[in-house]
Amino acid sequence: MAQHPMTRRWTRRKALGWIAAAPAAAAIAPGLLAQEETGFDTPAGPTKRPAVPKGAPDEIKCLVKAEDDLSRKERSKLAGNLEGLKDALEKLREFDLADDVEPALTFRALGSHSGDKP
Amino acid sequence: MSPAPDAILDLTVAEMADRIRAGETTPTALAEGALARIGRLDPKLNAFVTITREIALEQASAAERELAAGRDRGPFHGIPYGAKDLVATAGVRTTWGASVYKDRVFDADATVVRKMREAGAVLLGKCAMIELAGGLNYDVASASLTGAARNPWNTDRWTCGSSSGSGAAVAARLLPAAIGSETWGSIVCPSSFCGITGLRPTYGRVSRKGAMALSWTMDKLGPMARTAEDCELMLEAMAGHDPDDPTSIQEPLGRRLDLTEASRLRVGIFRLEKPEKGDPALWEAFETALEGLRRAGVKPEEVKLPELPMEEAAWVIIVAEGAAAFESLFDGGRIREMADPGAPLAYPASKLVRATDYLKAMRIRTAAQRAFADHFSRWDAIVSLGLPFTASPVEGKLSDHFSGSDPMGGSGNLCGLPGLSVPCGFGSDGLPASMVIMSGAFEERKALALGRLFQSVSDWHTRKPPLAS
Repeated sequence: MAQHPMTRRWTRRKALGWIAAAPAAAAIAPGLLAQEETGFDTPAGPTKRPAVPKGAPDEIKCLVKAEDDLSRKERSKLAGNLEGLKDALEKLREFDLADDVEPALTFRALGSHSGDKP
Repeated sequence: MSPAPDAILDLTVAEMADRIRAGETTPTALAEGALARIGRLDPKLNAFVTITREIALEQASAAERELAAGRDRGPFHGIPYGAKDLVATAGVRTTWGASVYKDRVFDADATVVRKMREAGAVLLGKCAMIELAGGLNYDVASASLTGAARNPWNTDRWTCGSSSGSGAAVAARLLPAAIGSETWGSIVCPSSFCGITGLRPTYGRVSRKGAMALSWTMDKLGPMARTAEDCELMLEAMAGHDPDDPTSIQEPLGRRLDLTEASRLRVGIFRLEKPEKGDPALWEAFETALEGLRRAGVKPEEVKLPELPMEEAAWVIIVAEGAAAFESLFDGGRIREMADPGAPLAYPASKLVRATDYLKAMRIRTAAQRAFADHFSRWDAIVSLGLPFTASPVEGKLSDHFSGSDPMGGSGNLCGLPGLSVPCGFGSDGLPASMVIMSGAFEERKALALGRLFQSVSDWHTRKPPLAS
């Protein structure tokens, strides 16, 4: 079995997760947050564009850039949160399961209220 | 009869019920006494959003009349309690701890509130909570409509969340019991920080009709009190299938186990890893608790949890379901009204989760459920140190204090398993430590019996915080 990703980022994320009852993006990535004022890609142009941490995966850069309503500081924090979440997602994606392990979902067809059957 | 002296408010639910039937106190005296105590101490604690004085006195009076007429609704008849402010109360505001909903009033009670009323319990107020039960990210104790709840053991320390007020109120003897809720940690953590006893029931055991939804597949409502016995009494009042909640289960609660049966339960010990800066006193407290169980006849053996990425799966499920549950706040821009500055980041972060990730998390959930079903065919309960730290400071970032992982909480919540937190000593800072007892799905009775057994050979649950003395 694969081991948990006990990175500093993931360890801190988990701690926040369970106090929160809902971790929802509570991840804090100290390394990335430290880059708040430096080390960001800030494309030139008439309008100041979203800050994106250098070295972040393209998927994260794309998501952060799309959040126009967030401040520069919030974007940098979001990037850190996404890095923490990505660690967890990679762990899930890499974990092998047998084909017969179905998702824990429930769905069943719902008959009409009249209950009439031909 | 004059209002209850504070000594009566020190009593447990079971003891109060006995005193009422012995004619030594009355529901009205208990309610008035508790209301006076709330008035005196709550300004130091921030445990309540709303005090329901009129309802309390009316329900207490009705209980008194019924008991005098010989109609006894059971142990909660005439007993004061509080409800976390995420369960709906007809005609009384239900804020979900968030300024966005500070004036909202539902026109019907949540099923759990109705069931407590039918058990004769007396609602004293709506307990403070972290906004939206923490569903949108928080990193400060003040992420609540009512500000930070303060810990009766040290008011510079936090109560934990999200059932913050329920924990503070029960620990400070403002109430003998309160409704809490847990998605991941929100009953167990405040119970641990505040030195009280709290039960996270099996998923579906308590109806969620009328309760705020944060994570449809992980939210649970449960009792918080001072003893395992009181939690059991409260669960008996709260539990039961509800046709209005399709996720509520039909499984009967079963009969209560006696202490002899509890001593024969097959108990596994899960060793929580000690973080680098972990307080050794907490691990010593857990060892002492194990000694207590052994003296009571239990023969615990070492056990490991299933090796699956369960915490990661639980996190991803909550991220996805939480973002979906509160989507309208983001769409409408009202997310900026949240107290925690990180709240606006929750929804954007959820966009990293693909549908395939959510389904993978749900498949890991299936695998974990199967693994635990196997575990709990060999073990009746698994015990562990509850938390690797004591209450955090009220000020500052929570992430600066919380460290380590939560394998028991992550796996238990992912699989919908019951978990009971019981006080088991103190850290080197004089703040409460806890042991958590997890049992198989639908087997709350085993965790509760083991908790009662432990509390029959220890007195940590009787210790009073300085504020309550």
